[in-house]
Amino acid sequence: MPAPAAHPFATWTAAVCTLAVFSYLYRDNALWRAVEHLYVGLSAGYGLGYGWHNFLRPILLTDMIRHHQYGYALPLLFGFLVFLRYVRGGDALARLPLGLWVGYGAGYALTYLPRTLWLQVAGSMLPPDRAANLLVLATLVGGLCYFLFTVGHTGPVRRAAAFGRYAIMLALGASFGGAVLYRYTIFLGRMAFLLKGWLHL
Amino acid sequence: MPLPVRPRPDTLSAYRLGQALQPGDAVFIWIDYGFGAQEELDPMLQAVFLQLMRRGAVICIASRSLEGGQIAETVLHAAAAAFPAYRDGYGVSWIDLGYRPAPDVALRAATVDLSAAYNGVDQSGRPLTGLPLASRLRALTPHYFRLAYVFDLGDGYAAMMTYVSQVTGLPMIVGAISMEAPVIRPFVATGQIAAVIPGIRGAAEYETLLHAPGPATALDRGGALVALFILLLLALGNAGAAVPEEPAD
Repeated sequence: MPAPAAHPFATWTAAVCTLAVFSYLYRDNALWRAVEHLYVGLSAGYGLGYGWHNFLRPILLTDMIRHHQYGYALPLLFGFLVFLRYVRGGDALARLPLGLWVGYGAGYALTYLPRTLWLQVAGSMLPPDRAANLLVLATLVGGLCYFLFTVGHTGPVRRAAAFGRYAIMLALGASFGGAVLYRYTIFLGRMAFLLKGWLHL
Repeated sequence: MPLPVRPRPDTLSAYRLGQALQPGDAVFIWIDYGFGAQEELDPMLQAVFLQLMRRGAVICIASRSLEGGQIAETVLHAAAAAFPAYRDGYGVSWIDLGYRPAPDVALRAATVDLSAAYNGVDQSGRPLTGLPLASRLRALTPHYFRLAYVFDLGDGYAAMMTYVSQVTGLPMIVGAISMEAPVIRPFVATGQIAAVIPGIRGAAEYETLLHAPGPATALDRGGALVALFILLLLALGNAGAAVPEEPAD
């Protein structure tokens, strides 16, 4: 979507960068690589600036120094332990903040996800009073049978597994179709920008 | 050539939930996509903003992607051209909390204290204490908000698991890119998500419902032509494969 009332310099920069990225369709080249590095650098710089202005500066200057909330020093120091991986013998300490993060993630998942997942499981087995519900159930059973390796694929299991395989192929095909159309939408949007937003055609 | 756009049940559900809002009702919007998904999700977001502005809802924006807040403000200003209350009403009609590192933690914290979850500052680093809307909307709960939207890019399933496990009791609408919409559908079937707006087609349907054809409608027409082009290539490829090759001399 063309940006509303963009400055001409911004429009030209966006157009040149778009064309530079499209040039990769022909072959790898210096212009494409320059724009790629520019994008990565800009993203990193933006992230750093945003993090400093919105999080580190308010905590360091406002909360800790102005309001004397020195408790913030503890998580700050704990976070800095990550950098001890660059110091010989500091690996064990560097793992502590990562361990805390992984532990938080595991605790979070164990606390909240079972109920959410259970609703998903229950939603896969709705009463078979509608064709759609029956199809979902049949696909679920077929898909499970296809990945069932502890029982030989003979008789009804074989037929269910075959149905499951076709259902999975259909789902993957639909997903791939969606991915293709999504990429084309991006391409069309860029073309709309180049033709309308840049060239005013 | 204008192609007919008929709203499907998914988009209709989302539209009706938006239409049920009353002036002054608060809506929370997460912008979870970055520059890579702007072409498909910006038009959708703009259509939703248009509806919310017409209904007079107040809007609170936050983001799980670093550039989401910036994107939201650009799109909001595009939609607010005819709505001075939003164009000039930052802090009163809408606020942008922006991005916070560890967004899952921020989401959990926001259900208790919205200001603390975002460190007391908005997207631009301004203190939330000076913004009337921020002092009115204290927590991400049904007590303060009537509706929530998520505009999602890639980590659909994982992100949805987080949202539906944390934001309880608040109807949630997901605007998804076309390849992600099937992943979101099971959450709609279970009632964990109220409705999903699927891809650029869904955005075009939303514009049709609002009687405001815009960028999504134009892109959807282009997408239809692309689909026809792909079908043509498939037919040509299969026809070429069906023709027997002449034996080499």
